[in-house]
Amino acid sequence: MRRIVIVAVVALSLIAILSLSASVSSSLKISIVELISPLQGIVHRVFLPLGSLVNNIGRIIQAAGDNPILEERAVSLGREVVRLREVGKENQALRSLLKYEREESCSGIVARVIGRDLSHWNQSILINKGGADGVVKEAAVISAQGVVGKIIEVAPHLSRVLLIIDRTSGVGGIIQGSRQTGIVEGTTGGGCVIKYLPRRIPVSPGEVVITSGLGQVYPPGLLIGTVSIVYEEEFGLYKSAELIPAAQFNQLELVMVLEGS
Amino acid sequence: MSITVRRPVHHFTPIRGRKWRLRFILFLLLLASVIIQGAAGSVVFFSFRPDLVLIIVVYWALKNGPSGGWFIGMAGGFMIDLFSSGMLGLHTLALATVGLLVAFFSNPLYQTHLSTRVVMVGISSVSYSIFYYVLLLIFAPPPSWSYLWKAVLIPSAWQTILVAPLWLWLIDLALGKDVKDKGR
Repeated sequence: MRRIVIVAVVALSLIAILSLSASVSSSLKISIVELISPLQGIVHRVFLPLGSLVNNIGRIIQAAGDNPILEERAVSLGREVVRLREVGKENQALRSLLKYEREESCSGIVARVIGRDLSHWNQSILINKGGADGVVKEAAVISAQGVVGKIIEVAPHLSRVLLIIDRTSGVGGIIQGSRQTGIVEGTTGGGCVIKYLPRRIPVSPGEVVITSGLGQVYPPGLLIGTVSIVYEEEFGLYKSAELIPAAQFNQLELVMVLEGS
Repeated sequence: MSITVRRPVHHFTPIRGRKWRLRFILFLLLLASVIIQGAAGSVVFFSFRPDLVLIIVVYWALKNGPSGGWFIGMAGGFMIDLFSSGMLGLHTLALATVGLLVAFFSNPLYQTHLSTRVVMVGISSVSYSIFYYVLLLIFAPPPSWSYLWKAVLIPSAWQTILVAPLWLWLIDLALGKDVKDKGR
């Protein structure tokens, strides 16, 4: 009899959990995770030196090969900086001539990554800043390289970020060269793909994809990645292209949550 | 005159008593979840996420029968639900089913043998991914069939099987290998 009661209670609580609305269940989840966060902090502190060591060895090996390419690139970027300074000055002069108001730049909250998603089904990270620090739901999160994702769960001192490589994520993207808009979604291989590009517009590997600003989560102009493979369909209205994300999702340590994005 | 007796370092005393063992396993579930989600963040292999929670569930289900397997499966699934961005309750349901089935189907096997356990871990990992996919079909927008194979089922299975011998050995060390909590 006692066993039947236990089974009934557990089954009912499972049904109750499954029928919770998304907002209630997400706030419940992140609140419980915050209670466990001291233990999480200890584990993170224990593993961080090990991770840094492994990462640094990898970086040193990679740097040796990359060095000549980077030197060459530094020279061309130096030339590009000079040219852009000129363009910037010209732009400033034209703006003042047209009395054009400068767009407000976004400020951000710097946060440390303290955990990853436990399941293979989802791609998310936990960061050590929450509502008490000014983090709000749906805020865009970026790294030094590019767009990382958006905030989906917020606790007072902890938040969860849904990465752009998650299968449920969708970011409004634009191909910088052709100005064609599409939607960037996560793929099976931990990368992302830009979908719904018009068939007739040529897209080639190496083209840069940035945020379009549509959808009002991500400000326009943030780097998402570069096109690696273009999928040309024989029929249909649209084509898609696979991207190499700019953000290094396997080496994320610090991110910035954009305020007022 | 006093004599000091020292035990060899490898000679651990297993945890005795059903309640204490259960408490230890529940703590281990929490620790496994925190280790995987915390350590994976700092170690270079981002996608290397062996399912330590599943291994614990299989271990407990083999020793304690359907009710034990079901209960620990639920607790472990709830842990995974907490630390992932998916819908709350789906992992709980999927892992509880796995715990129950492992206990049912492993009855005639040599459950304490390492190879049996590792094979059970592999089968459970595959079943768990398929159960979860079925639940997604019912409750949430499901991913494609190729996503299940390429992104979840295969990586999860090989990573979990790779870690299973070591993780099972560590649990054995703490709880004692040949002690069965409940005879059937």
